[in-house]
Amino acid sequence: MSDVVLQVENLAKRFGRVEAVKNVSFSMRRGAIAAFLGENGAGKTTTIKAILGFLKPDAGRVETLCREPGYVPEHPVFFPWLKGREILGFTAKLFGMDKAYLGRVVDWISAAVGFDPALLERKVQTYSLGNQKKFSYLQSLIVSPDLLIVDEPLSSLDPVSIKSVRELFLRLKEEGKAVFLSSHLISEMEKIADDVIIIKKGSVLLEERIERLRKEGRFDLERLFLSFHE
Amino acid sequence: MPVSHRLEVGFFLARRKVLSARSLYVLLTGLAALIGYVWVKDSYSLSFQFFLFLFPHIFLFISQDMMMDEIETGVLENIVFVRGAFRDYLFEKNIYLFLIALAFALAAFSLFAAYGLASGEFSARFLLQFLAGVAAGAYYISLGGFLSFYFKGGSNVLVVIIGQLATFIGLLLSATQRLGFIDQLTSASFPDWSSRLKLIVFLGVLPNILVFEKYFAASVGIAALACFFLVLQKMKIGALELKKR
Repeated sequence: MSDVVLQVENLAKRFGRVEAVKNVSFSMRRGAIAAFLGENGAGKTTTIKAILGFLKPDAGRVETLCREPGYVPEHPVFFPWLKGREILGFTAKLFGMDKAYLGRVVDWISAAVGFDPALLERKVQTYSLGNQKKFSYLQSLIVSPDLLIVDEPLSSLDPVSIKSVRELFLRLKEEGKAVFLSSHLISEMEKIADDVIIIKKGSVLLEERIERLRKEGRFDLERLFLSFHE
Repeated sequence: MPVSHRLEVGFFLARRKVLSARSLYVLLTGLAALIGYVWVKDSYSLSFQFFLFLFPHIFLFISQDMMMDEIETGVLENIVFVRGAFRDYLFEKNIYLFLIALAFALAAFSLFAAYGLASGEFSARFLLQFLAGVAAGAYYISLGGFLSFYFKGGSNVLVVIIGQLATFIGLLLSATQRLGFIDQLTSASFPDWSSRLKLIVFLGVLPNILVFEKYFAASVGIAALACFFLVLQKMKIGALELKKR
């Protein structure tokens, strides 16, 4: 089995005159957490949406070498007329999971992200932003994806939940999953990431293993990131 | 993802959305009240004709908010719609909404038919009228779906209703002319190209007239128009992207 779960080659995407992403190439391996870093408007979300098939690239290729990836958007939005349990129900149905398995995974993932399962009986629209984010983690993780893509993983979360989610990423990594985190919170990414990809104005400037940066004595992620933005 | 699971989930989503719309219940109650009133004041037969003429509007009404609202709110940016699955879901909504509207229409038709069979007033012609009405309903779904790419909320339905009102006023005005379009409609006689063209436009705006026996044959044309709007929808959906909100 190949170690690579995601391969992006020469990805390009324009919105009218704006070149949102140009020649973006990188790969993602199993059992690793990758931090996808960039300023606001650097092209992080456009890249993610192209990977997930929400946008059509103008050029380049995206290959996901696994089943459907999990995805947690920065600000998740759900069908307003559905309860949490209904959303989990159809997600499980779609991915061919039985109810007994669903019950078990909902319990452990809820505990892992600090989500109160009692909320599942309410419409997701009525949740707080933080709980909507946690619910998005829950929905993505019940299908046990080989690759989890998260846009701004810690936005809307309180400090306790941030710690829980951080531990969850490490657990997924131990299970051999790939976790792709798009963020501009460098200090948080520094704590957990194995690989770093830095994007600026739609181009990837650096793709490197943190272990290698450490050996080279360059492992101050913030300083490294800022060095590309001076 | 197996196709059967995808269709089942898509149908569930469409059904829950339709059933959560309070305005649907207002429409159905209004329709039932009107038909009931005609039945009480006049006869079973006339109220059945009222029903057959009006029920295609259930299909039209169900097509409200069909596309753009879901595209713009961001609900499609979800793991169940990755790898372009949102495109299948949006196009297949035509089938889901058609089936949901058909279920409402069939339930009401069954009540009428049961009463008619019991009282001996039911005619096989009613069944043909119903089928013609279903063709009109299918057209409404494909038209409403296409319009909902451009008109948000329920305004896609409103545009059709306004078009129907304008057509109705035009029809009334034509009554002042000698051998106006209203006369041609009544006699189903369209001697020249101009009047035939008017008929096509009229059918496109108010396909409910298919339920009249004289216009059964036009169901084929309406089915072709429905296919035309489905093709347009397919093209729109094929090029669709979920851009930044």
